[in-house]
Amino acid sequence: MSDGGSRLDTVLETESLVKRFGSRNAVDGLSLRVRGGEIYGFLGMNGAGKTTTIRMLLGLCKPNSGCVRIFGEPQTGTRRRALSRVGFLSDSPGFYENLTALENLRLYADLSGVIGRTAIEDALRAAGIDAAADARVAGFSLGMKRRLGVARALLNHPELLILDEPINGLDPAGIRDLRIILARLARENGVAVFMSSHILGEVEQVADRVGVIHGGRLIDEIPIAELRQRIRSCVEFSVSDENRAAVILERDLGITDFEIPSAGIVRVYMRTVDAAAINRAFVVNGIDVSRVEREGAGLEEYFLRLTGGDHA
Amino acid sequence: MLKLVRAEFAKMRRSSMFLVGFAGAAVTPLVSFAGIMLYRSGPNAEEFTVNYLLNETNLFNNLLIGPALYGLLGSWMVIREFSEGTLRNILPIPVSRARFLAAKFLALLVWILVLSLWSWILAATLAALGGLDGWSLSAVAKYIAPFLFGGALLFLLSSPFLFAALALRNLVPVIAIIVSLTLVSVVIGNSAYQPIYPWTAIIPIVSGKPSAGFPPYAPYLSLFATSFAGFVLSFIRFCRMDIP
Repeated sequence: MSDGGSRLDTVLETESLVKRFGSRNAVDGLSLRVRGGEIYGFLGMNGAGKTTTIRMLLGLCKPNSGCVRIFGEPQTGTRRRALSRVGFLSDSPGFYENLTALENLRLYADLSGVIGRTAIEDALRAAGIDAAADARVAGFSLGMKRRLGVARALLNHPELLILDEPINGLDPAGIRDLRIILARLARENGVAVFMSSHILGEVEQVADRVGVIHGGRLIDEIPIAELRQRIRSCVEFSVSDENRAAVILERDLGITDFEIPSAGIVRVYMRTVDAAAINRAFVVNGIDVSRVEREGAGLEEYFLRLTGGDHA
Repeated sequence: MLKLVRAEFAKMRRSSMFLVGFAGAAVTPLVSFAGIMLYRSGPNAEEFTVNYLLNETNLFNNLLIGPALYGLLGSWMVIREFSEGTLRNILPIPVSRARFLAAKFLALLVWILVLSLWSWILAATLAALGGLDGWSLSAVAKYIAPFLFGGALLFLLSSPFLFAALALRNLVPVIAIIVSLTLVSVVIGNSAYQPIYPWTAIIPIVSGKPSAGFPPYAPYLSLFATSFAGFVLSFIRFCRMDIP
């Protein structure tokens, strides 16, 4: 496990990664870095190149050019030992359906060199699937298979987790549990997490940094705080007395996230602004309101604007 | 490597294909024995000895049931990894692709030898139950080696089927190929070309009878060249392919 001192070291790196299928570049010159203890959200629409990138990271398909480094080791040909320190969850959680959850994990544990039943039981418990340990996977729902996939990913106490669309098929409780697990692993154990998703809201809640892939190219890479700043929507009020308006917002409505960019303008930042209630409060307190306008982009708007609003 | 082979057998637990293997390998002794019972009262009744049953069982194992059954089992072992999405979860452990495929071949060899023994046990038991002439422990025991030898040769001939499985990743067309090649065996089995068609060349090799019209090495060359090509192509294909 990474110690605090090595948390900021690069654990996963791609350099000018290219994967062609026929004449189409599924991944086109992708360069990114994931640091220890960081949760990196890899965002993109369906077909943007997320899964192809992850397949190259895991050695399942070979890049046409460029390279992948995990813990500083180039992943080429048969030299993929660094993967033994990686936990992964593929987009389809494949298991031997004739075996039970426990038997499946035992098989993977045996091949991974994980010793002891305790490690398997811990992983099952962490993923919230321990109650179904002795049930055959054939009877599992997609959500249960996903949970078992998470258990498998945690089995070898990884230093890097690579997750492809991890919340697909999970119920709300499963999504919440996964969020907690990832946050705990990253914050407490310094585990780096690289997770792909096309659901922006989910990535935003858990990631530290976000990379947006579109048409195989990384078109944006920003810290989540900056993303939040960019997608912060606001309601702008043109008022007769901005100072009194500020007092009413703070004292009467308990709103502190606002600014006065210029005289007569009050900009209120909130996820869901009740513009009507604010307007009413201003008018009741004798402040004239000449204009109310919503400004700024939501998460979806931001993403669509970035990707041109079309599919890859 | 031992871990990988052990994993191959662990994967088969509770699988219906496990039973298919044993049921399939039971077909030849049962059908051969039923044939003997049917014609036992006929004019050539004295032919139907223990040796006859064991020879017939081994012959039909090697010519008909074996190639089809073992080809199917081997192909299933490969194709299920693609269709159940398990391959993409095992290879990044990381597991060497060459070792992974070698483990599959080794597990298939062990499985084929076990099924060959099962077929022999069944034939020997049926011969005893049916009271066939010439039954003794030493008489039936001398067939263990030909049954296992036939099984080993059939294992060598399974490599082209595994290559087809890796290339097509779908059991239906692979079964079509297996059935077609087996039908060709039926046509060629009694012809002069028996020694040079790989899936019938096994008969002169196991029986030790010389091949008329061809040099003595012809059956060996045919069988081993086909097997070698199957193994080489399988490993090249698997080690180079992108896993979907």
